[in-house]
Amino acid sequence: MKLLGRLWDVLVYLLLLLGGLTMLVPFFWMVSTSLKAPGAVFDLPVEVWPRELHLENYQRVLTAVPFGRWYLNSLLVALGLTFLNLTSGAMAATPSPASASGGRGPSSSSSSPP
Amino acid sequence: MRVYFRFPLLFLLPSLAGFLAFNLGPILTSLLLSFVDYDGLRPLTLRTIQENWVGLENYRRLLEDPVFHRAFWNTLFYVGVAVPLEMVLALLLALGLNRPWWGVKVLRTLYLLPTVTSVVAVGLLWRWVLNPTVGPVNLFLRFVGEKLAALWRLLGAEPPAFLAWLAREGPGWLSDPHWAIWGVILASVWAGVGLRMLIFLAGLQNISREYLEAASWMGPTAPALLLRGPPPAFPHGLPEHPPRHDRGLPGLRPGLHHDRRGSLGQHQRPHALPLPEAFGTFPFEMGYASAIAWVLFLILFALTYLQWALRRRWVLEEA
Repeated sequence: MKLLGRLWDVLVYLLLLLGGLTMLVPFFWMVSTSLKAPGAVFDLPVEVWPRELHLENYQRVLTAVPFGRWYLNSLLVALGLTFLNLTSGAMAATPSPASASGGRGPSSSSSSPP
Repeated sequence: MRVYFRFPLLFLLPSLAGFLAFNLGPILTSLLLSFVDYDGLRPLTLRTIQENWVGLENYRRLLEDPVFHRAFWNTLFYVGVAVPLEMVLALLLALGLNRPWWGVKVLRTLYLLPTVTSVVAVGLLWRWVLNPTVGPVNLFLRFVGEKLAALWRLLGAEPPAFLAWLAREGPGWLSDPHWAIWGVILASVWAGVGLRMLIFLAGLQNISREYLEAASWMGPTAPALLLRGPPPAFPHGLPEHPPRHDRGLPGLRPGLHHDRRGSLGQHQRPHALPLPEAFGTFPFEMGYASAIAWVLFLILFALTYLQWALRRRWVLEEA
């Protein structure tokens, strides 16, 4: 009985591992495709991992467009959004005497104004 | 007392201002626009609204629009398959990953990776992954088909047509009308299962030790526990997480429409109401688009209300 449970555990673990690796396949595919020569994407039979690594795709994306600037923009938007969301959200969620009287939220012990 | 009542408003002000400016205004405008024939180009003044007022015409058109009907049933089908599938998978994953095994945190991360990937990137990525000829999904299916067909021949029988088809081409995913919806389901389950797993996992880890101890005394194992009515921690995670399917995967949409407009056509539209189409056609049909958005909103509102009503009955709130 104990052995059976052990076997079951191993089976579950292997299944979870297999599933986890399957989740990775699209990411793996993205990387592998990014290393192929520009025209080789539709070549048959398909190379799972390109024999020659073509790094020029990366070179192109870094030089053809202002990639650094775009990345910085994304970063600024993300940081700004997070900051504003957290601030306004935390402020709105601050327990107040008014909400504590009606609602069932946390009591106003911690941060209510004097 | 007075100063107390001023404080909450002051604290609410940032969120309230944002809501009024960026949510409530546009929401009300779109409600108004749904009764107007508006192209989105003329300045939106009271005069424009007055002169182009069409009453319920947009809603009448919607009821008769075959594209809308098709999209509606496709969306319903999609939700009916994808959501239960994702829920069951996520629950099984959470049960499996809720053990103190070696490397279990890495495994959880693997399942969660798609969640932290940009939705547009996921959509674009899956256009490649589901490519019928060079995508890994069909490569794998063809491989399996070949092996099974070979096995069949080894046993001295003619492989069935299904296997031959699988070995030769496999499903056309995003290009074949019959398979398109399954392609979208596959991609969105992949993208969404991790987050739901995490929520279930949090629920499982929130079950207090007393319950588990009592259960271990009574004897039932985890599966039996699950079948015996709502476990104390689950519904916390369940109803509070509205499906994010109403947005779909935007990256897949261009894949479906640009590449395959001919073969997929209007009537096999696999997913989502024809909102972007109404926005995207020229001249823009903003009035019609608003009407669609409001019908969609009413449906979602009804579903959410139902969810809350059921929640009151099902969820064991902890004191």
